[in-house]
Amino acid sequence: MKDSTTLDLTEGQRLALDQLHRIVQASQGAVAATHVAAVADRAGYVEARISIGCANLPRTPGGLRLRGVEAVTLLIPSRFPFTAPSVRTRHTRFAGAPHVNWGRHLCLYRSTATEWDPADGMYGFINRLLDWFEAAAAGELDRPGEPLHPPNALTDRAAGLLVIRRDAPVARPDGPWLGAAVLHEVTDTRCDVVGWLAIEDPWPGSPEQLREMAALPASARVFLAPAVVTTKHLTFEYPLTARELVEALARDHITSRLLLGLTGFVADHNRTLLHPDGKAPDEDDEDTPVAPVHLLLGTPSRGIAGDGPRQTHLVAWHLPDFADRLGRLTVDTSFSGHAHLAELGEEVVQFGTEWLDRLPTRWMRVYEARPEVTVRRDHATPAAWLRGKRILVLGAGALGAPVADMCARAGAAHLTVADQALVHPGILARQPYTDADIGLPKASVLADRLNGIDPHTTRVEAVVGDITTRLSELDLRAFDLIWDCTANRIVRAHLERARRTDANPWPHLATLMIGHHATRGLAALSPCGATGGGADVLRRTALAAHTDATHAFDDLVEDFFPTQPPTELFQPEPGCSDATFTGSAADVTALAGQLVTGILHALADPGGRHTMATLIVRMPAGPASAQPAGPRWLTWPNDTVVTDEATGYDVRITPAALAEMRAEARRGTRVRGPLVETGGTLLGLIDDATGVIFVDEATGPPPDSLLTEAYFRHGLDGVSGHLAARREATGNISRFMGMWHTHPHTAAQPSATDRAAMTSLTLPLSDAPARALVLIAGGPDPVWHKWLATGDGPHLYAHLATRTASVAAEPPPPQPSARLGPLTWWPGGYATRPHRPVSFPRKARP
Amino acid sequence: MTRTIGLALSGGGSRAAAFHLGCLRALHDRDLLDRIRVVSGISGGSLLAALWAYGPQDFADFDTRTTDLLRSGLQLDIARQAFKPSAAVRNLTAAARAGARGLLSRHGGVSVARPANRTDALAAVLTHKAFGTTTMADVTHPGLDVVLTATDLATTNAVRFGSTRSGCSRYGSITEPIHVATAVAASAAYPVFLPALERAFTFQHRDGHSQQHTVLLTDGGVYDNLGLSVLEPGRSPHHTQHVYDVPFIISCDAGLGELALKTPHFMFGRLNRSFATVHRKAQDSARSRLHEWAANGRIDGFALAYLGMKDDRLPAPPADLVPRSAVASYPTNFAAMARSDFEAITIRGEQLMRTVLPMYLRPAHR
Repeated sequence: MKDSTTLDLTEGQRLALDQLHRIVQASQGAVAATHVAAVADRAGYVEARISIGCANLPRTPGGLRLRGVEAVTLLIPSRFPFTAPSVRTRHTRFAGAPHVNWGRHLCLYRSTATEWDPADGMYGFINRLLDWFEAAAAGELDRPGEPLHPPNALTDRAAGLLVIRRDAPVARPDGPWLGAAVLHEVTDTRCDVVGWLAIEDPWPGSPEQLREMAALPASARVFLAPAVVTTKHLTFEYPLTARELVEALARDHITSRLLLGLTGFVADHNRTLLHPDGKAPDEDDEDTPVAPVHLLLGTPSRGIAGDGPRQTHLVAWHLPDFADRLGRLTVDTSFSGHAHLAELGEEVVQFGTEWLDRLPTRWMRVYEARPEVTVRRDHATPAAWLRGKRILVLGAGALGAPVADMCARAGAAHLTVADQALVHPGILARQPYTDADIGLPKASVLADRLNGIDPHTTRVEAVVGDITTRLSELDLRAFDLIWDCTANRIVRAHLERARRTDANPWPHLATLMIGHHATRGLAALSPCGATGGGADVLRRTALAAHTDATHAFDDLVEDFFPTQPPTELFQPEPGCSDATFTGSAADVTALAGQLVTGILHALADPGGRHTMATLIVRMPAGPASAQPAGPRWLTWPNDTVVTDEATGYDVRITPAALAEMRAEARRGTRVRGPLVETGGTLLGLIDDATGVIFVDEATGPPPDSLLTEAYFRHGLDGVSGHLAARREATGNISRFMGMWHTHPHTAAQPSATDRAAMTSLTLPLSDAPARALVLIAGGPDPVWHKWLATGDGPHLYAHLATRTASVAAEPPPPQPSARLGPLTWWPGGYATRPHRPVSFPRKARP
Repeated sequence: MTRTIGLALSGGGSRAAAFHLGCLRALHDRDLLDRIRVVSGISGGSLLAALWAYGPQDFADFDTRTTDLLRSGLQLDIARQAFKPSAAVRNLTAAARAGARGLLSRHGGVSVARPANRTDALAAVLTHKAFGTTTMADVTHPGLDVVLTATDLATTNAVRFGSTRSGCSRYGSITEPIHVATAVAASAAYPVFLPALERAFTFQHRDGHSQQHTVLLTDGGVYDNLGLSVLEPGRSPHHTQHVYDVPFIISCDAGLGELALKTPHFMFGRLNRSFATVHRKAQDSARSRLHEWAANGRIDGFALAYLGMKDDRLPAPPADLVPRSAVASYPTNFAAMARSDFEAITIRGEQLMRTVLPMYLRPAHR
């Protein structure tokens, strides 16, 4: 390596040569370096010729035949080790082997960005090279299960860019596929392939038909490009002149005559498509083609080694004006464009062939977007659930805008974003809008932006206006998922009522919220078929957070469900703006992302159907601070829903409340026999806005209750204390709202006594409300028995009773039916023995 | 119905058994007994666990039989059995033989050096009044497993009698079938009141070889009076024969909490108090372990019904709650129980369990 001293080397190149020197010294003859020089054809590069001992590599039938010593040239870039070196041979014996480009370049790395480690330098590179020779000798350059290396074409930036969106045709075994690609001209330099037309198919006669075929808007400029797909994998590298290419294709029975004919035919079709009257805009300017023309060439080269049929690998050859001239020529000759290609006039062929000799091949950059050869980067993630779905996003603010963006990027088919707000300067701190958007409706600005993400897949529509009034215009059944990102109580209550009263089941509904300082987020999921909407699930979340015995949600209670409303609200423009939260773009986007991922996990899991759930996430703190707890899910099975006889409201009874009633009924059977009624207090909330009566908890009969086979009288002992304790424990969410009792083995219908009691509505409270729910659990023998034995719901009767008689009125004395004979009176509570047989025991009322 | 609950019944003589009966009544009313995968018992808890697991399938029948047994008591019978003339004779002959030949095997595979002490008498009473010759494998409820724990005074290891397997970590598995009565008596031999139960069993070691060892069995509550250690999540099958991994644990704890201040004047009193202290300490640490498992997410949750809980710490007590003071003075022997004591303890058990269940049960275990 004596030449290296005379060369002008960069620091990196010196490092590389130094490392190479050490490798040679340590290799005991396996690697030898012979020559270092500047590279003539690549400025700034230094080449080092080395030889590698391959004599001891075993020969295999499918392997590359290697000589005892193989000489290669390393090309060391000036920016080594921050640019990877490359390696080429001075011979072309390896041409045609997999992972050999341009006959001489050995392809060692699939992705230098991830596989090339600058710290390893030449040590890593030579290791790779030795591995390559070993694999080549063993015939394992294309290992089964690894991607094939498709033939390479040196692309030319100026030749333009082609994005292939539609799966490509394949040739049949008996001959090449001939036809045209439908191109959508997106910009001056970029065209998208949006369809394929085989030569034998009927071709659209107008641009409108073509656009319709490709599902493009009326403004889109479309035209055709000739396309050929060969039957065989091309082992040559794509040549630099048209002549070489044509000769190579001739081996696959694609003659120059065929190629020229097809090109001319397609160009002529373009002419008639784009100028149906037969006149080009400027007949004199013969050099300007009506459409840029590209020849698309496909070879069956894509796929996984040893695994199934190969897919078409596509390259595109940019033909500046040659094809257009060819097309004009064919029109001028006897060849009309409708006759068979073989009838091309000799002079056309002559002309074309002359052109071919002079024409350089300019390969266009080709970007793949074909489903058949591309894998979506989000394909194995929860976001895959969104693909092809129809999504409604309510709110286009700090949460709604990023959520809508995530849905659009995930490939939702249809997205509707609804918001009435306009873009204010202040929101730019965290919402994805720009200065130019100020004063415009958020929803339209957002929809415009999202429409640009993937116009071929996702359509985005804006609804500008008050959600509670505009909601009725939308066909909600058409959606798969609704995101409520409004963080607005009014919207939530409106949705709860609309969802409850809709005759059709609603799609999944996810309600997202973030805390006062954007340090915590909540996502409440009401899947399709769940008994509760967003307001319901958030209410349950509040209850669970308040009552959690481990106090794991105390921070959540303070942030989202405080018993006292927070005193310090953040007003960005004091005096004239709505109170909002503080938080950065980083905070809100991170919370939105976590909440979306969590909800999509839940939707993708078929086991979670009909389960209401809430996800709680917390933002990290600094390295020195105590870290907040990680994500937590709370889940709830569906409630039992009864319709209130009086108001038509939903009575939603939690499984916990029903379980407590059942436990009391089972206890009654165990202690008092199967026929004695029992009952107790109901805790929850009557919500007239949404029309929902929430039954959170039930308790058993107070000790001074009276229980018989015909009558249940609710006692007073301990009721106030218990209610106060539960009010305290639930942050006043769960309050007294009614009473329940059983009708064992008989219909769940109010008796005459029950009806009378409903009008006087004597409640076990000193400050009794004017209305209360009366709930009766009963059912004929098999129903009742099944409930006690298996838990399958009893018959339930619910009536929201309103006191009509005066408060002071004494409850009507029970009228035990004479035929029942003497009654046994039982006390409530946990007593195990009945009262001694006395006449009806009276108790003084307060 | 999947069984996902582990039930632990603590020690504490008849007081514990009655308390646990009350807890089981609440679990029955909440329809949770069919969800129990394994019941672990210590001492009085072993008695109740065995009465339920090997008793009638129908809950009412079980309740009636258990009530009768606890009300009539076992202690009088223990005394009678122990001092029967036949037992006295056996004691004499056994002592003579033991002097010459060491430990002897009696028919039935039970080895006795000093047979027929008061704990043997307890086993005999249990055989007679409750379990007959039922062995540990004969559980009445399909899908339920039972583990009754005693302590071997010789090695200070826990000896566990289980429906699937019995043994201890030191010697291996016991190859003979074990009578439920023997297991309950061993687990209940509270050192202050009852002597250790001496038995020889054939143990099969992990490496396959079998050997006979004599164990001196005493109350299982010396180390773990709540019976929770067999339910500890993530136990390795390499170190124990009992791995259940139940995600939810219901612990019935008949302990009394803080000891009443009294100065023990007599030796017996001091001894009793020191044992009580050990039990209380063990109980406190077991309770805190339960909290730790739940806090670390090793179990989904637990419900703890604790006899000695201070009444004012119940968040929403029932109006007719039997106060702690009404049950606190009841002793931990197996004497006949007065109706008022029995009812007070069982009802407190039922009330505490019914009150804590809704607070801790998660939807998955409802």
